[in-house]
Amino acid sequence: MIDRWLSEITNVPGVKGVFIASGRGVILQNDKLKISKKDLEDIALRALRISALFTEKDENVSEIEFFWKKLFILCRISNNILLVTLCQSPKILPLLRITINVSLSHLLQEKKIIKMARNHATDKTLVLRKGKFEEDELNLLANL
Amino acid sequence: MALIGNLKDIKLPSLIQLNCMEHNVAKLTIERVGKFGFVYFEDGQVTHAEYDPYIGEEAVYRLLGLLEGKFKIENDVKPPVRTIETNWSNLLLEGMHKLDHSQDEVENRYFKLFERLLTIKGILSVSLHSQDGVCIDRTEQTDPAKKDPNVAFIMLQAKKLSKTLSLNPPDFVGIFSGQYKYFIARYNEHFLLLQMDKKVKSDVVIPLIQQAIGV
Repeated sequence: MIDRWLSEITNVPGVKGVFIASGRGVILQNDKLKISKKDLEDIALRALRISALFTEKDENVSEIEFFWKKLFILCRISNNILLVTLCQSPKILPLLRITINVSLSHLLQEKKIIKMARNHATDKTLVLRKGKFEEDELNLLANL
Repeated sequence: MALIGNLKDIKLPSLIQLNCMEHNVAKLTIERVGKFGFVYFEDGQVTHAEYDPYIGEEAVYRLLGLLEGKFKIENDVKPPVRTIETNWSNLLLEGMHKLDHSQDEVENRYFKLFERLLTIKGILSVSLHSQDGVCIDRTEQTDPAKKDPNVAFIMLQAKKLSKTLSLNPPDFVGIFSGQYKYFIARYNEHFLLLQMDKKVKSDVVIPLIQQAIGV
């Protein structure tokens, strides 16, 4: 059933693909994206780090968007699950948002997802303290 | 023994004044984010200064613009060459005048930009941040107690994410957090942070922001 709800999203015209990751950045499922697992994990980690910055200030991030001229990435964070959608243009955003809302609410009821969310439950700010950081990242984190 | 400190605590004009009035023969070294500046004193005057790529009076003027940076004063170090003939007090007056003037220009430039952005419906406040995480300028905050997000770190993560996808850094990053939506846009070598009403729609507001910042 997870496949079905992900394909609801990828069926929206202009969507290149979608993937789900846990709150620790582990990839659970990928639909249509021809990107290596390592690179998907890297994308998830970057989004989770941004979210963690806000968690440190007791704010909850529900959505992160990245805009390029020919690509748009929408990251939805809910119940320790990260849903990342890559699409060609933000022009499809209204339809995409509705589809994601419906699909995400169903995905969060899937046993496999619930189990993973539970197993990977962690301090959301851990991604800012553990893992590989380059010097430029460490310098900016020191300003926190 | 060398005197060590930070420009946050003792400003450069005070250090120049002190060394000149005491007729010290000394070398002042200033370090700010890996960049070094040097000011030499002899016979109660500033005789030489360097601040890459500037030498002489211009180097002093640039160093006067630093609000923080580690410094060290070593006594009995003579200048390698004399590049400054202007009396130290005139040098300081000219430097402060130049600094005021350049600050006015910068403030006016950002003021107009901020004003344009604030005319867009839903934008509540605007701030400009450097790549090393310093807030350069800002409009009045909606919630003064609330600290800005670490814009430089967010954009660095976005840049590294782009690299993974073999793309240039993104033009915009949007973040929904609690009651606000934040938008970060690249602006020359800096970042603009826009705090917006949560109801603002990205696809609607982006063209307006692009128009306001002249992208």
